[in-house]
Amino acid sequence: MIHVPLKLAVICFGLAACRSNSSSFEKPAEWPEPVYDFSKNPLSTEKTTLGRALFYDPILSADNTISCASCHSPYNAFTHGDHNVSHGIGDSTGTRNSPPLMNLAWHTSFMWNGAINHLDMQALAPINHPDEMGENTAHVLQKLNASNFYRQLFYNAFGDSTATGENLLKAIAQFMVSLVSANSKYDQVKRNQASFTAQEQNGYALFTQHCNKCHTEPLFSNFRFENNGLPIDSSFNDYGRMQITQDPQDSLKFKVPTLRNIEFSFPYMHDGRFKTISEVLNHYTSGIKESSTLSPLLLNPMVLSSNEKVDLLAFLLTLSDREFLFNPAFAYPKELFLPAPKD
Amino acid sequence: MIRILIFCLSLLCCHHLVARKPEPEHIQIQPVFGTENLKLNTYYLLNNHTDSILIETLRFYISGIEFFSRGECVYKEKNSFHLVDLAKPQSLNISLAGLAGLEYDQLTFNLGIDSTTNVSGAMGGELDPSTGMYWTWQSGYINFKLEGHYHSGATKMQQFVYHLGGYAYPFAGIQQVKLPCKPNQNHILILALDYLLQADFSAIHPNIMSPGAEAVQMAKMVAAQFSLKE
Ligand code: HEC
Ligand code: HEC
Repeated sequence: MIHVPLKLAVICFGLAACRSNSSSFEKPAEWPEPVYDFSKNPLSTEKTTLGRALFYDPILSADNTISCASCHSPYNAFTHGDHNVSHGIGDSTGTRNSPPLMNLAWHTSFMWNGAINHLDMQALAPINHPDEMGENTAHVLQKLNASNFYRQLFYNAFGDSTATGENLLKAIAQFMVSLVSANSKYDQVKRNQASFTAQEQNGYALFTQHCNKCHTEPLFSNFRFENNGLPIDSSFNDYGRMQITQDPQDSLKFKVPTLRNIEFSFPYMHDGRFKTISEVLNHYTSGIKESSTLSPLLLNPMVLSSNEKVDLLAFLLTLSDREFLFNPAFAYPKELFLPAPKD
Repeated sequence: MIRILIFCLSLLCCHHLVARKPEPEHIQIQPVFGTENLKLNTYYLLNNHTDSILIETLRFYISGIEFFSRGECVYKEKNSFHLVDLAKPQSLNISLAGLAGLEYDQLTFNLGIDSTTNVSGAMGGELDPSTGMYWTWQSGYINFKLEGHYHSGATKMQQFVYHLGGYAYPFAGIQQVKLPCKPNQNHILILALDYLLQADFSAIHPNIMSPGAEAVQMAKMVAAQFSLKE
């Protein structure tokens, strides 16, 4: 139990935190309204703090080894660096690449196949998945309710020290909606605070022509399910959206991922098959596999010269937001967990 | 001043009610096999007189309780979500405050959870996902859970696990139940699971654990097994 000796620190923290400092969600100007319904889960600093602690705490896993951050690392735009499919408890591997986490308040569904319909419900999936955290929700609540550290944090956040499923999920969701990336060079150009180089500008034009219908600005996704022509990997036989709707017209369709911070969220695609952005661009120009559900947008081969690919890549790199990646408010909450005497 | 007036008025109007001090009415849910009240972890002989069945789990949601009089809604329970669990006797009793004294001829309720609630994020109380009535790998409430096994002859066993749910078109699993109903202090709502006793092992689908056509079909069948004992 790493948290037991922390009682003192927590009590001080609890005293300092007057109940529920409500905060409002700051929508970047010019962006659409978020989809997440904040009226049902009003933001507060205390809830976000609790959510952040939970996100980084392996207490959510059966053997206390895996946290959300194990697969969603802040320095990789909250994806799992260097793993094509995620790596969970007891060295088990899943069948999908963990998506980067950012701007989740605008997503209409979650997971590559849209299996999860609301951000609140997302955490249930990894917690209860035998290959991910291998826990069950009721047992996690028991562990949290046995921890003075968490009883205090739940009290600060909800005015009730008892952890419930509802409050656990709402707190984690609050931390996740706080992960807003809106300060890339692209954003600064849009705000007239910076300007593109000629190469980036040309890349932007190519992007608008070839990619924007699916990877739609400013979130760089239309949040729909599309088949972008990846040949099926027979070791996974993953048909994507069809698993959920059982509709053959959804075969091989996956949720369009954002391209923000794409520089850091490798490897790419639902199964992490591509290691570099260049491989992705080559897929779009010469790797498209035709099938009945292929997006009509990709039926005609995309023609991009090698110079154009370089320009497009230069534009994609303007979507990197270092302030987001290295934001201390999103990082491991040392101030809560440390110094943690190891026993 | 107005408040006092209203108070006096309401005293006058409800005079006979107040005098009678009505107890809240109840719906007492009673799963049965034939004439026997169903118990968990108990063997029941099948109709073929050789095999038996044992139920380990029976849990389901009843929601949206309403009473009607000649087609018009006269009572609508607020925040009407009830997780009925045969392992928790108190969950079989639903108390309906404010129903006593009303005239009605029909009870309606849903077996399961409506689609709006299914897509509205984390809920508390009976709807808290930690109750185990929420799928984790895919969003959605489990409307009805029935688990157990058949004991065939002396040895053979067949497990069955039915988790019925689904909220999205075309596989929405929620079922509305409408029953003729007279005013009564205690409504006994029977859920007769006798069809399980006619087990034909070759035809049994041992597992339904995700939304789909089979789940909807079975939910319809279960919903048709409710009746009121008047
Ligand atoms: C073992 C690795 C692993 C762990 C641990 C893990 N995740 Fe994930 N996460 C994934 C994978 C893989 C996916 C994509 C799965 C899919 O689409 O089927 C994913 C998807 C997500 C998504 C959906 C993103 C989108 O764009 O659709 C969110 C949000 C998320 N995880 C949050 C969390 C939270 C919160 C936790 C901790 C409670 C967590 N994850 C723990 C691997 C993991
Ligand atoms: C028809 C819609 C569509 C178009 C057009 C499209 N994409 Fe995609 N893109 C997708 C989908 C869907 C995925 C996820 C596919 C999967 O993993 O199965 C994807 C994945 C990606 C990824 C991987 C992201 C990640 O996090 O794994 C990159 C990079 C990418 N696309 C770049 C582009 C670029 C650049 C263009 C234009 C040249 C483009 N896309 C055009 C639909 C599209």
